[in-house]
Amino acid sequence: MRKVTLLLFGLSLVVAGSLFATGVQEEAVTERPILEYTTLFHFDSGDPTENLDLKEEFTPWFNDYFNVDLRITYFPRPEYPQRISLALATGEISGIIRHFGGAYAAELWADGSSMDWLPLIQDNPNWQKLEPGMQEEWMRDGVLVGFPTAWMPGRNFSRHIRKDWLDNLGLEVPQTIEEFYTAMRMFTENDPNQSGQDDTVGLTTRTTWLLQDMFHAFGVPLNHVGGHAITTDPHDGDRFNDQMLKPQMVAALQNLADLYANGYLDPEAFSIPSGGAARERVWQGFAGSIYDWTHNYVWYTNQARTVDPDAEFVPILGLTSEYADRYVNPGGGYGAGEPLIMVRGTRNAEEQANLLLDLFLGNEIAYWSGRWGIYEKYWEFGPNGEIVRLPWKWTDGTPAYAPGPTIGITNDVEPFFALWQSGYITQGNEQASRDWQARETRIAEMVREGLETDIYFQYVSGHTEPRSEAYDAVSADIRRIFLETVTMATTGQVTPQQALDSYRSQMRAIGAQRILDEANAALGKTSSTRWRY
Amino acid sequence: MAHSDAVALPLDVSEKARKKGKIFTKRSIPLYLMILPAMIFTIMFQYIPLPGRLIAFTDFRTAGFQGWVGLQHFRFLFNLDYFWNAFINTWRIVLLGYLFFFPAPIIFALLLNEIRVKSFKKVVQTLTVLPNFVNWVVVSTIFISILSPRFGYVNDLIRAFGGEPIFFFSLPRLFPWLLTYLRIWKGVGYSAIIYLAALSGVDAELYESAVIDGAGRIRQTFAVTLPALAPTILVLFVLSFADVFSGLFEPVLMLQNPMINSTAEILDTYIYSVGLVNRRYGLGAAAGLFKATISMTLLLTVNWVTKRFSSEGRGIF
Repeated sequence: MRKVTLLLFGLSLVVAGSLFATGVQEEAVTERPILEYTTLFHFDSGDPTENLDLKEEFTPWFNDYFNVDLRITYFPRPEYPQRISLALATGEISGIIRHFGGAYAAELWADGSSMDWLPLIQDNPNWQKLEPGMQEEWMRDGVLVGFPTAWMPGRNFSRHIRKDWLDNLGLEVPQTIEEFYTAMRMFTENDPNQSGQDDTVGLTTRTTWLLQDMFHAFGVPLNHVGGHAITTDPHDGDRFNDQMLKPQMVAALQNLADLYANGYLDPEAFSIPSGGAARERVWQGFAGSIYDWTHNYVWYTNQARTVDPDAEFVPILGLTSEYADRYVNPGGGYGAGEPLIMVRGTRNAEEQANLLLDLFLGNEIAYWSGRWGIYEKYWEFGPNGEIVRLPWKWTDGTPAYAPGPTIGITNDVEPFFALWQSGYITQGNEQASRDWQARETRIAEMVREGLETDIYFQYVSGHTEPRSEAYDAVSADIRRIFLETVTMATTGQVTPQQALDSYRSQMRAIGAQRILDEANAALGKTSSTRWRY
Repeated sequence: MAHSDAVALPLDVSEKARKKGKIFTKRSIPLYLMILPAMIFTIMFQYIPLPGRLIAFTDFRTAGFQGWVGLQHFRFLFNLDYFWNAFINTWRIVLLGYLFFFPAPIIFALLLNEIRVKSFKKVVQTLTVLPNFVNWVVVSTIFISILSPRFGYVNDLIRAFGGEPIFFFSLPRLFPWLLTYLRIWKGVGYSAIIYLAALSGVDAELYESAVIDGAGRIRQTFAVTLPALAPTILVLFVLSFADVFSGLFEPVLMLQNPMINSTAEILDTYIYSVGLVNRRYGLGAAAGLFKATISMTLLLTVNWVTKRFSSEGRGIF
């Protein structure tokens, strides 16, 4: 009998331990209104685990200041959409999720993971004040599948290249794909950093996300996040086309294959786990070039100078080739930022939705705090009501040029509060500030000139992704098939033509032509008769 | 003799209880209690989810059941080259596993059995078992770093000898071999334990007789040790077909990247990606059902073959 007692006692311990470990406990009682928010985004302060002590101070301050219970869940950046999906599939997430784009918002709505925002917020005065374009950006057939986080002039992308390396090699900033190829060859083979060692490559990337201009230059632009090649086509009357069906895609892939085979493209480019890791390879001086947000080139220079004081980056706004005699880089227009998703089954969803709007669009201090961090610590109002950012330091004591640690819950929403660019916190370096201002001014001029002269293109407003039920059902497959096609062709596993033949066959199998037809019908256009599956 | 006494006791108890028509006796209750957690676990995670297989025939979304779709998911899957590629990749890795991973612990146990210095044997055994307790996340990170073309010391060595660095995890043809190697590295010590246990039960008199008959070490291995291990090998071999595709998910998921997906996408990772990551539960369930059907068919076939051809005419069930 003693054995039985002991056994039962042991089992009880195991059960009790399991319950304790899995957190079966009473939830803390709170009288403050709850706002559950899931994000990966910590503005310019890196991923969730970086500078943790600085980040952790934001939420308690915010909750005390506004008497709310903001609960933030951080997911790490690599594979963020996949992690969100897993959390949704297992039902362990609720509240509001910041996601990556309209396609994800539409997918989540289609499979019943999310709620329609409109019935929750349509009477909220802050919603009614939004620009119609902003209101409609994530609207699908009368359903608001995501709440817009911004309404601001579109940010441009450009290729960032080491100007000091070009100077060392006696090269001009490349303007054509051929000049660029030469520069990449010399960056790899001709010791551009003059170290006497074979320690550099031409360019790196994080999959096709940071490689988009290598397609744009051949007149085969990718979608707005470089995730696949079904996009409104600036070369064909702005109808949706699959760029992979165009003959010049062979040349685009061959260019990548040549860069890879000769070692000019970082051999690990397609296995780098995050954009941050790819950027690090650039500023640390391994790769001489990357495609990224245009405004990041200041950041690249600053970061690279911590390793090499002579480092300097310049942006190449677009490359041309025999296939595309003008730059085709997405830019201009207004963007609605990343959509916020309301998870289906969220308790008090209506309260949470309105609290979000009342705080971050209705209260100026909350709005700017969501943007720049704790009020009166990282920023304050100037004598004329302007925003003044206050100098601060990272945990290791180095002066910070980035916004204060915050959750980045708001972005620029021009109609609400005067659009104000962050500027450069001088931290005593006035010359650097002047340089920064001059570069920003130059970029703005180039973008304006590009748009006015039709050098840049904009994706058709509100149609960065096909609006089609068929697309929502298989968009994940499309992204996978596209990435594999590009990867296999680039790494030389098959020839570009073989890769594209396989692509066409796989896209046929998932009914891709119907996607193009539906997407074009939504634009009032017909699909191309030239490029079909 | 002591051994047969120990076995006889519970049989006696069982026999008496049976005669009295009692299932629960003072002696049997602790045994039932001991097996209870395993039974609960099996019922909860193996039997209760079984009706979930029906999802393969439905349009099931996060919002719940939307309707029956018949064989639509299967038709979609079977039309996908990608799915069949994952199927072939799975088999490639499984076959390499049977060729190298399955015999490795047997060979290792035989070698270990020949070591006469006990302390050395223990050290070797401990060191080889340890990797089994290291998570695949850590193992994959270690090997990706070691084999990195830029940072890895393997490539440092290659460069030191004047060679060109090799990015091992970008070579699709190499991936199944690398994975098999890693599985052996991680699992050989632990898997050898059961064979070592079987070897410890081999009657020492058999070896003495073999020596008297003039058998050397190698001859002893083939004439005494291997025949003694044969029943254990057979049981483990047949049982391995019950979960022929399992054990691959974690390492493959950790090691795969777009460059090697042509050989590194397997059924398990495909099901995970489609069913959970992309939330196409019906499609994932269909692929899972397909996989389970193959496992079941294989198990029954191998059991039948074993019955048919083994000298005693017995399978394991």
